[in-house]
Amino acid sequence: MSCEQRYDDILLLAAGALDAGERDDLERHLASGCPRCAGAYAEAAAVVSHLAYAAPPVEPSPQLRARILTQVAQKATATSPPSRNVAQLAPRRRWVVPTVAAGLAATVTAAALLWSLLGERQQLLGTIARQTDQLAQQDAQIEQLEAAAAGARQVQSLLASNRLDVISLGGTALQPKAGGRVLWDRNANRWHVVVTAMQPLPAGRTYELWFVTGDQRKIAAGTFDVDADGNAALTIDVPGGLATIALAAITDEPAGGSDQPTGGIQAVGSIS
Amino acid sequence: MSGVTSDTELMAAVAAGDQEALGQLYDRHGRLLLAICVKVLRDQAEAEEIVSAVFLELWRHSQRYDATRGAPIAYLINVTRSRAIDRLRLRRREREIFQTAEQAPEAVHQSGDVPLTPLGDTLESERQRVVQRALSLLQPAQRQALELNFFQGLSHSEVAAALGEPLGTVKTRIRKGLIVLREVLEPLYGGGALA
Repeated sequence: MSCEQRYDDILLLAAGALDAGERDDLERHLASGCPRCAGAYAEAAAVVSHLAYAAPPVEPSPQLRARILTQVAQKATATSPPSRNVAQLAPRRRWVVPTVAAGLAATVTAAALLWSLLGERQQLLGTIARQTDQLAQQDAQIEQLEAAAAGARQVQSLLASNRLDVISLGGTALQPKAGGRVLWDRNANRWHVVVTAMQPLPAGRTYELWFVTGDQRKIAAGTFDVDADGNAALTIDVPGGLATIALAAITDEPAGGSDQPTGGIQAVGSIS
Repeated sequence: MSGVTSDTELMAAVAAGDQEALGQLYDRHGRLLLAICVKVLRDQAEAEEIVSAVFLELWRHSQRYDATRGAPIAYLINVTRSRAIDRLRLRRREREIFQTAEQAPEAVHQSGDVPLTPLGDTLESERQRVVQRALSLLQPAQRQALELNFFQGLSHSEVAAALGEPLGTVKTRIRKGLIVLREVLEPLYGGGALA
């Protein structure tokens, strides 16, 4: 079949409307690296996305924009509290310094008042510092709760999936005790990966998960580190248009991950 | 960030931590993304929750967007549709489990026209005009099958079951409908309006 003859099927693939057999054949061809068909797939995905314009227009509630940007600002602030504190303190310092100069040049009474103000300022600074710490702690707690809630929603979605495959990961000679599971939610096209008993890696190294396709292409799926007990959990969106995935494999790589595996295979699981 | 900026530039600015760029993406595409969610979920409050989550996800994980795989708007539509359909499937599953009656759809704030923001600009306006024309060229049965696939996340066999039509007929409708869309939208690609 020529690439031109595949274009209609690529449209159907992008729309998620092909039978499994047809889909696998086409995905295998796309994964072979055919640039024309890869371009056709990107165009098909864009064509399909334009069905969105069939939805009747809806006016958002006036608060939606502010709600989104407030949430984003909170996330941004939570990651950089020091700069916020400096900015808040600066104007007060400018007010106090001239007062010191004027007070010293005037009367003892003014000096006493200034002393009192400085003491009050110190107290206020202490209060601000404590409240800033509390805010940072609360931000961290909110972050943890949101992460836990997101995890719970994912588990709920996973349990609701009627197309769920379970892939066992087994350790290799490098790590015989390592193990784990990949839960493949085919509805959401998402992998939920749990690994156990993997040795924590030294600084500068990280674990990396790979999709290995039927034609032996290795596609980086994400890096992760394990806790002190050797456990980790991660969720990965499986890229669309990928050829049949034959294996899931974990290697150790330099921090930040690699484009192609360079370390030894630590755990592996085959996908039937 | 100031002046008229492309979606791709806005995505890069978001990745660099520019909150104003995220606001501009919302101004430009928020209504469309909300319309998708309302069409899928038929509940504006739930739809706004999804849109909010999508923009927050974009802020926190902007690196997931790969410019080589398509335009930002296609990515945003795909993520939004996916999240809305996930929620719809979860709702269906819960209904199956708890056997609750389907709630009546909540009233939504339909608006006749999609108002364009100053930065919604000419390209967005032209895109909407051409896409609406393409959709109008679809036969009603083609459009119905495509919308069930797109907005309800139904496979072609599920679309066939929903419509009580033979599978082959539904496949043909989806295929021909997509071909019509591709042919009519092709000038947009050639002209770079969707790039």
